[in-house]
Amino acid sequence: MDRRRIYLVDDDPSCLEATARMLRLSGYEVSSHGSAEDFLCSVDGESRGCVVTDLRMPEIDGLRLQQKMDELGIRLPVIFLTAHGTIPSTVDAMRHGAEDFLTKDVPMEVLVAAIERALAREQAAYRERRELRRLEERFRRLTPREREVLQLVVDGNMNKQIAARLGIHERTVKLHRSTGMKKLEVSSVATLTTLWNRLHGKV
Amino acid sequence: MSWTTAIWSATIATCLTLVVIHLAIWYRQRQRKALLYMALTLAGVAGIALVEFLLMRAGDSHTARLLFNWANLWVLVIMVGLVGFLRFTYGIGSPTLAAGAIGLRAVAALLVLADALGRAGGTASPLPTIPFLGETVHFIPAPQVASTWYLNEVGNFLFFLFILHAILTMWRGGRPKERASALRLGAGILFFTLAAASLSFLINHGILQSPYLVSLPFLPVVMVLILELARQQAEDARSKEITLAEMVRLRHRLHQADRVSLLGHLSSALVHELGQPLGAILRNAEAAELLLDRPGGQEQLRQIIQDIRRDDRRAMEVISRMRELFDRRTMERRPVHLLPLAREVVTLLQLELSRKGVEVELRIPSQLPALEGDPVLLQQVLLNLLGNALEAMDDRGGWIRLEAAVTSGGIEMTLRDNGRGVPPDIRDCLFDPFCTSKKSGMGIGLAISRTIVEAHGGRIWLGREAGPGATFHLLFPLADREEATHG
Repeated sequence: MDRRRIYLVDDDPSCLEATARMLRLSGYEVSSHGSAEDFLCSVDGESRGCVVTDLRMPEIDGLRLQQKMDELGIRLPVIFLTAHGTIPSTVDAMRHGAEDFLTKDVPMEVLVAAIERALAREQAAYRERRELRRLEERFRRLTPREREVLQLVVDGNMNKQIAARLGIHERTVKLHRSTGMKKLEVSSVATLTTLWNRLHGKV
Repeated sequence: MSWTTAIWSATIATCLTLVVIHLAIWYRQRQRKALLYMALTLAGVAGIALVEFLLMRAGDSHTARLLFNWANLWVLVIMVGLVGFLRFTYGIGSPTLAAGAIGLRAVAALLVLADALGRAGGTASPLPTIPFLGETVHFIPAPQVASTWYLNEVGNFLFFLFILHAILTMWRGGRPKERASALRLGAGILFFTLAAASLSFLINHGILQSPYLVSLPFLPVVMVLILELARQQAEDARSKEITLAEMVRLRHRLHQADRVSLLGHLSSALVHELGQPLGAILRNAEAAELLLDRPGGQEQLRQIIQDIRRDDRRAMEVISRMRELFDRRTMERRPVHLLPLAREVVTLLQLELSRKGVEVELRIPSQLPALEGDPVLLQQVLLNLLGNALEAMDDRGGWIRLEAAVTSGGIEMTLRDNGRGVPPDIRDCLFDPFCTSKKSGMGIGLAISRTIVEAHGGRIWLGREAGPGATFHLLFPLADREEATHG
């Protein structure tokens, strides 16, 4: 199960090892990385889980890592750990959507709670993505004519109006409509509208 | 040897020597283009002098015409030289006027040249003679002017305007010293170029029967310019010395500022360096705790305990490295005078002081005996105290008074301010490390200050005077008199 994986990034070997140990004993899958580069090489857009990274590292520090992840389309939530937090870097990290910002001396419970929050958020985001992808797949099965007809249905037109608009028989409209809705796996116009808007980014 | 030979060859020799000298200096300092133009001017004067000398001895009009062309060339050279000199020494002079003057004279020179070439085949007539300086020399009888003479005169006029304009610019933009320069230069150049031009004009138009005498008036002009150049160089050298001294002072100050921020850096580095092993120890301890409830964790527990030990050693190493850093600097011992020391500290803090509108009053008698110690460390103490006082002020401004006097115990300093004062809850721990009322800062400034003062055999304490503000007292033993005078 990849769901509870934690990517741990820290240039300090002792910290890396000790934190990995504690997290494993707490029930997580942990991949340890001694540098941001190493971590970036082992993940892609499909990876699941969350990232716990040291803020202050040579080469690529935590904040740069967060930017690189954005650039590479890696949407894992990031928790920052620091030996001492400074306000400007905190603000910076939060602005880029850091899940949490903790000092290294916080008790295990606080860190684990932060990880759980991050994983829950990631899980929700993943489900959302998967759902959307499924919808897109269904949408791709529609013929151009079906798409046209369904768009007009969503816009609130009656079958008769659609027929007049497209210059086809009302019976043909009904046919397109029912096969289209079958392909999209929806049974009511209300569900169709919700789905349609979601697919077109109008949630 | 005749007088004319003596005077003219001396002039030529002087000019050529100076040309060589200026070129030699310029070769080594290429950026000083004024030297090159001065050499050009001098070469022009030498050329004119040579032409004049030859004219006195030229027997026929043919040779005279040839020499005239040369004279025109040398005048151009002198003009270009003077324009360049003024441009590169003072950055003055209108380029338009200079171009006009030189352009007109160049056109006139070309016309004269063309005229001479046209008449090259003609017959040469002998030239009359006059007595001059005890000998008989040839001269050119009037009217011997080319039909284009007015071009030359207008060119000359533009050149006067150029000089006049340059001098006026210098006078107007001037500090007193530059005005004096402008006067010397202006008077010199104007008078002598005017003299040379009028003399030539009178001779050319037959009003005066004399050989040409342009080079002689020009010689003083050139001398004035050379003196100016030398004076400027001397001044440059002096100002260079001043900037050097300034730089040394600045670097010293930077060094001081470094020491001040060093503490800040140190504390942040300390937190990071200690934070890493302490964080690892915490995680390992937590892991061990989780392991306790599970069977078969013995081996891992052993590993964890080893790691905890290792990280603990690492933290201790960080601490001993820090201590080494503080201890490594052996304390200097030499006589230190408080007044200059305090002044320097105030200068260092000047920016913050004026930003907050805080006045510092130094009531330190200049005859106060020296105390013995390390000036850099003592400055650190004053810097900490003044910095604290400054931070205790709000933005409405305030005052800090630093007094020093000899008392029975030694030299006593009192630092008083009208800020918020020391909060009652930290009065007792004020000189202990990590005791602070500030949001930022580690609270080690006063602890370090106390360490330094005590290392000097002194004491520091907080006065019990009623507020507002705080009063700090410092007492230092007097330096040994003899050592002080020897130091």
